[in-house]
Amino acid sequence: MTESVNIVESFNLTKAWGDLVAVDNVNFEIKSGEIFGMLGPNGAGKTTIIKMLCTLYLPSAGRASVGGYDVMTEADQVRRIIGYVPQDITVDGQLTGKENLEFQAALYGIKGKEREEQIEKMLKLVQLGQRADGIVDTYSGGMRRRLEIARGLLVEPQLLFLDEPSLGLDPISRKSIWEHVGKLQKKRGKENFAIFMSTHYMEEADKLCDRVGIIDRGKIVAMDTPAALKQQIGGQIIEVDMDSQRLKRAFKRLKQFGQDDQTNRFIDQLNQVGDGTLAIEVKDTDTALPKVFKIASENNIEIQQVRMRSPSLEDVFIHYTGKTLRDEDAMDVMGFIKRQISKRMRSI
Amino acid sequence: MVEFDLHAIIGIVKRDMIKYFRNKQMIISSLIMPAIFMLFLRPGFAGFAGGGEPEAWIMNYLGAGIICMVIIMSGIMMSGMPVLFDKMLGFQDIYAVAPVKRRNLVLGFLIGGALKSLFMSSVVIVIGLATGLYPNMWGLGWVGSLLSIIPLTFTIFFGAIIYACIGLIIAARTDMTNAFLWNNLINMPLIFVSGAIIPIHTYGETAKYALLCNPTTYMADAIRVWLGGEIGPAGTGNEFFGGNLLLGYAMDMAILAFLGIILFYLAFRVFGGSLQESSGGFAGMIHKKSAKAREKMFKDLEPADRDIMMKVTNKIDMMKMGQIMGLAGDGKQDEAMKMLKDAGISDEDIKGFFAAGMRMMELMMKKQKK
Repeated sequence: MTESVNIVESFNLTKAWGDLVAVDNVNFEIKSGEIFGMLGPNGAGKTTIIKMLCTLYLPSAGRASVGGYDVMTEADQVRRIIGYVPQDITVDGQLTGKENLEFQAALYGIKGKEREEQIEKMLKLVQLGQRADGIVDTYSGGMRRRLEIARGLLVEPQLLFLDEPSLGLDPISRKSIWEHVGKLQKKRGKENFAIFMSTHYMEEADKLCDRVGIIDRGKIVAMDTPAALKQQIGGQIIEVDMDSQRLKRAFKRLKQFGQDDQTNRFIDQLNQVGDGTLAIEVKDTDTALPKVFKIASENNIEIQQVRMRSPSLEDVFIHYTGKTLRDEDAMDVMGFIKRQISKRMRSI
Repeated sequence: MVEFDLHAIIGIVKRDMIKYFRNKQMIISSLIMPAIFMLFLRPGFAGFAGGGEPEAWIMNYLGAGIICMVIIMSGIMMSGMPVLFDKMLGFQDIYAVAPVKRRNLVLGFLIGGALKSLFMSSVVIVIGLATGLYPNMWGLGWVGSLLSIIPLTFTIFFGAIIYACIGLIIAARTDMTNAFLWNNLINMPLIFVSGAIIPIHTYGETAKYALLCNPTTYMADAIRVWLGGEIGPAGTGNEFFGGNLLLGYAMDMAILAFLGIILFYLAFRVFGGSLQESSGGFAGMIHKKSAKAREKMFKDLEPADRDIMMKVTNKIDMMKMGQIMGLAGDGKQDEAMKMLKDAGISDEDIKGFFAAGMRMMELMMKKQKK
């Protein structure tokens, strides 16, 4: 397989359950040998895309191919070339680590001596060799995740799906898992082994992925290399901390004088990123900073702290979706409650 | 010829067995139930026996009845439980993404469930042998008893597979809580509305027909042939074949086999469907469904146009069709033409298809205006 070949191609891929459209006309491709990361908040449709590509869900419309095989009509061929590590830990707790891998080998028709060797190799790779005969229920979370990855890799897939591989893991376990994956890619030769991962750890995606796609509400809103995505935003980020009670007013005023006012416009985008923090995207901090202070003092807003930095992948995400990853759910819930209360108030 | 993937089947059975035998509580509890019945119901059954040897009676009805009970309860529970757990824990995805045909998975789970039933039934046989209840088979003494275990094992395994199908169907269609409800609902009538424990002739004439509809009646009868050395006094085979053991047994097994084939097919469909159908199956189904939808879509067209639309759309799946329509709509007719050609549609048909398509669009526009 040459490097230019696409291992995954999707054309208007859509999945809907009744009125709920989880994935909405998604188009993308992944080159073989690439590490592709899909970034998005919970419920954005990451897992649904992965499940469709893994032949677990049937697309409602559009089509997708993996390794040149259609996921709907040639599911068996697709299954032969993929490895899948689901979001929830699904190794069998009542079996030993080795038995788990033996079961997987049986399903894929790996037999005899080859099976033994392959299992041995994988256990060594994820450093579980010594605990291989221990019951999985006695493993730590990190060990289980490593065993899962070993299981996904056992069949030497051309494409490995990792659905939130570092969910619920401590930083050390996370790091070691990524080391293992890196090791494996080196061993297999980069062009023969692609990874499709979903995550909501920005730093992870930034460091590991060749390309990332940002997905929000079932749609891919941006897709490129992390560096290019950051460059697209351009400029700098100014973060200002203030009393959270003042935040709304500050937001309004900054938008009014710095963004909507066409003659004096210096703000590219304005986002709330924390309880009392605003992120201001500007082209040039040297000239923008005094203007921010001026607007603040004229409107009686006390700024507690100011930070300046280059854009991160998280800023890219905020730029395209208008929300932070971490606060997404919490903010929505609060918004819902507030809306409900104000509705009641009005009716009284 | 339908092929089976032996490695996958063995893998599933092995996993099932490891999990069962590693769970000490499960083993003890599943063995105690038949043992208690065997030991404590025996005196009562001995008194029950009308004439002849009470030992034969006990094995014929109590022994066979308990084995049937074990097969039904464990068959439905034990083969369904792993599936239910796998579903709950998300483990099902692991074998659903593996390139294994669904029939292998179904067979693996059925064999696993049947082996567990067999293991539990062995308690009845062991207690029977140990307490001298085993009848003198073919006048060969203990040799006869041991010999009869071979066909008995086969019969129990055969029956257990059938009831495991029911367990698998329930497990594939419901969740944990509801599976228990269904089990209870199905278990009891299957056991008690049958000739398994109580002789068929003690029921009334109408009830007898209900009994003859229950597969457990035939299973009990088939087991009885190798357990008591006779078909029960009013057993089914007895009525038709004048007490000929082998003919009666053959008839029981034939009925069970017929039922087994139906249930296996159902289990395959339901369980396979719950995993997401493998390759051809689902696409084929969609195609069939889409044929009806298309007929509806093209119903306003002229007959000639309708024919060409059906002809072309028959050769191409609806997903691709959408893609082609999209390309044509974007003004990329060349690409759309190429895709149609790739699907093996002749130039003439393509021309007709586009012309008919245009007329269809016009018709739709007119309709919308109205």
